[in-house]
Amino acid sequence: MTAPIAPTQGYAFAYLDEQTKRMIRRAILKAVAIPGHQVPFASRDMPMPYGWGTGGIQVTAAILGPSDVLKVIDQGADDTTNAVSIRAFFRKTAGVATTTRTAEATVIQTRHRIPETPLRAGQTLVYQVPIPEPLRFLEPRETETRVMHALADYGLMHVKLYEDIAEHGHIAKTYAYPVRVEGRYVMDPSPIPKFDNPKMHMSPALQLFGAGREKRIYALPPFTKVESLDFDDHPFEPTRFDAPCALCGATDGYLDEVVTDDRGGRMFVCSDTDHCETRREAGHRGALLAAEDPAGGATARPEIAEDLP
Amino acid sequence: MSPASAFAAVEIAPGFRDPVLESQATFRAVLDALAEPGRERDVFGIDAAPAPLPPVMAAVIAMLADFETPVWRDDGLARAEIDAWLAFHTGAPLVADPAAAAFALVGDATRMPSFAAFGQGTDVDPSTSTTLILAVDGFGAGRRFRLAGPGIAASRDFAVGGAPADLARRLGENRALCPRGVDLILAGPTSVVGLPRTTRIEEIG
Ligand SMILES: [Zn+2]
Repeated sequence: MTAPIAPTQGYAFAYLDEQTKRMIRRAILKAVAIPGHQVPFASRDMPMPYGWGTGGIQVTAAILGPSDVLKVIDQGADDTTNAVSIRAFFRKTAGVATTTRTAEATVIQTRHRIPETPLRAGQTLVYQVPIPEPLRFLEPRETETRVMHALADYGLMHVKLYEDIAEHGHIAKTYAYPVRVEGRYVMDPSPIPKFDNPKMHMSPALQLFGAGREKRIYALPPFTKVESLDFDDHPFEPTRFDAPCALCGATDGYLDEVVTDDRGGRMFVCSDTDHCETRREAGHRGALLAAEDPAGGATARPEIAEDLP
Repeated sequence: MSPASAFAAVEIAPGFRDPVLESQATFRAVLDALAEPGRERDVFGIDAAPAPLPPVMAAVIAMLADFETPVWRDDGLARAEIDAWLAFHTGAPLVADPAAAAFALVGDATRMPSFAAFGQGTDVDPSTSTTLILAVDGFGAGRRFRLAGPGIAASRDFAVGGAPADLARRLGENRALCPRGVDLILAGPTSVVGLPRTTRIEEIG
């Protein structure tokens, strides 16, 4: 963990001006009061492209205070360019302490994953959301999807999912798998793997979702019911992995397939780098490490060879 | 009138001493309060706010309001010094119609209008409803309630003094409109409690 420092002179605290923060804070409070409802907000231009998670960055900027400890992950990893840059941005503009340890963080900004370490009360998970509208692929018109949410008219969504079952024998969606919040709003959990969906249900942590380009904020207060959409005869099934992590031997985490050499060698390793490192520090060894270095020692995680869509 | 008083700031009481950090701390308290209904969250009030505007209520409205958010206040708070303070520190338009208010300041919760008088939001965007900030005597004593719903693992009991006698009935009717309906921030002497529209409430004595 890095200790807090004085923010760099010449920047507004956490970059945003106070007027913008107030507007975002009001949207966050209403989002918390109406779990799963997408609250419009006047998203601002940020000094990075939309694909970098400007919605999540604006939410983080609006909530962050000097005593927070910030963690930023990109598909589970703290060390990607995106995660490193966002962490450095808030270190510079807000002087906050930063960490890679899930357990130490008070605010975790994430792209595409929920950490494996169970979140606790007092933590806030901020999701970067590219497309907040779960009905978009059924109905491109925003005016129509708003009305469908207003009427809780989700019949079309169920028909689409059932067509999947008829065609593939199962629901084909493996990420951004839609959920229903407190029996009311259908919500897009952002492009997390459906493996992570059960972690949203009754989490003790506060979950905030920011979509910059689409100008929407939505939220799950702690202890909110979050059900993945399914059918009685085809219940929701999170992804399971056949092999443990090659580095730490974990069988409880989401794994990425990585290319290990130029001869087509592949292995599966934890997508959550903190989870994997914490386990290795505790002495756990996966098949790869046990073979090459049974006594332990730091082994860098291989580069992820493929990206989620 | 002396020449100096032409500048409003000369006669208007101060707001936050450190607007950036105090706004952030107040926001997190209110956020946590609405995220976990019935749990008390400490707020440093603005002691210099003109009476009878309670210091914690002053901090909450200074954190939330600006030129985009019409503010309604009840008769007891509709005083020239308070109006001038709100105008100076927030720039919010002050409105007489509670249905038009983004925020409503209720100094006397025992004599407040029906929740139905305030903005309820629309079916398409229920987030446009009024947020009510109610001054109460304090928490831990007074009427006792059992709460359930989002933000609460199973159930949570809390007590409040100085809230409307029919709070449970009002909130029950409000919840029946959900996802439309108002949200409540109860402002005590040193803390806030949130009661969003989703909370189920039962009076237990
Ligand atoms: Zn691992």
